[in-house]
Amino acid sequence: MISTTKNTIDQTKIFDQVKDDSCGAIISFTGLVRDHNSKGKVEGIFYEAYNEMVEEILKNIEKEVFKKWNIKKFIAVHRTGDLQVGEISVIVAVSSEHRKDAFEACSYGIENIKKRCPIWKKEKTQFGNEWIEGVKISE
Amino acid sequence: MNLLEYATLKIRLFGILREKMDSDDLIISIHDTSISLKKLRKYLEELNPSLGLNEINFVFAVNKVICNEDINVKSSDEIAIIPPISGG
Repeated sequence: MISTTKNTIDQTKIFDQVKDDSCGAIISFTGLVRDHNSKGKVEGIFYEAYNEMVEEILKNIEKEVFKKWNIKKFIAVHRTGDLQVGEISVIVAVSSEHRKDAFEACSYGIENIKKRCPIWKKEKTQFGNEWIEGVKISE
Repeated sequence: MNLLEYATLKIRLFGILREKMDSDDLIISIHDTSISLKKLRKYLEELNPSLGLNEINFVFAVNKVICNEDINVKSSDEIAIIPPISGG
């Protein structure tokens, strides 16, 4: 399962979906909205995505991890819209027979989401709302 | 260039650019059936200085793929300006 969503990400549900009886390992990465940045308090984050392109890139990332590692299931979901401090912004979960494959595939998944997915965030702080200066998208 | 032909391009905007223009897209007309992304960049910079495109390290996506600016785009293409990203 790969997608963007406006809805709250349910970590337990994701765990149940990625779990498989043939697998001895589940590795997941969960990104959360932090309550501060380098300048002070953060009250929340607005996430905007080019949804159709993100879904295409997530499909490619999914193909790549299945090609590179011996994994059973791969889930990647990114939130959009207004998020409060502590809410889940992104989750990548991978199951595999042995842990090494799931560790590496999960790491590849989140790193490539951050480098390749057209998603932008705007922090809400005590000084106002500010778009985060990002990095040039990688192909 | 054929002066009898023209194309209308819809360019999708996101993040800070969408907010600056208060619009999800820019609609522009060109006096040709297609234009290179390199020319389109220059055209947009001149046409919309308020967007501040020359200050942003952006790239174009065409039909949801990041593209080299030597390619030409036409009205049927889905064109988007992708400012620096910050997901995760």
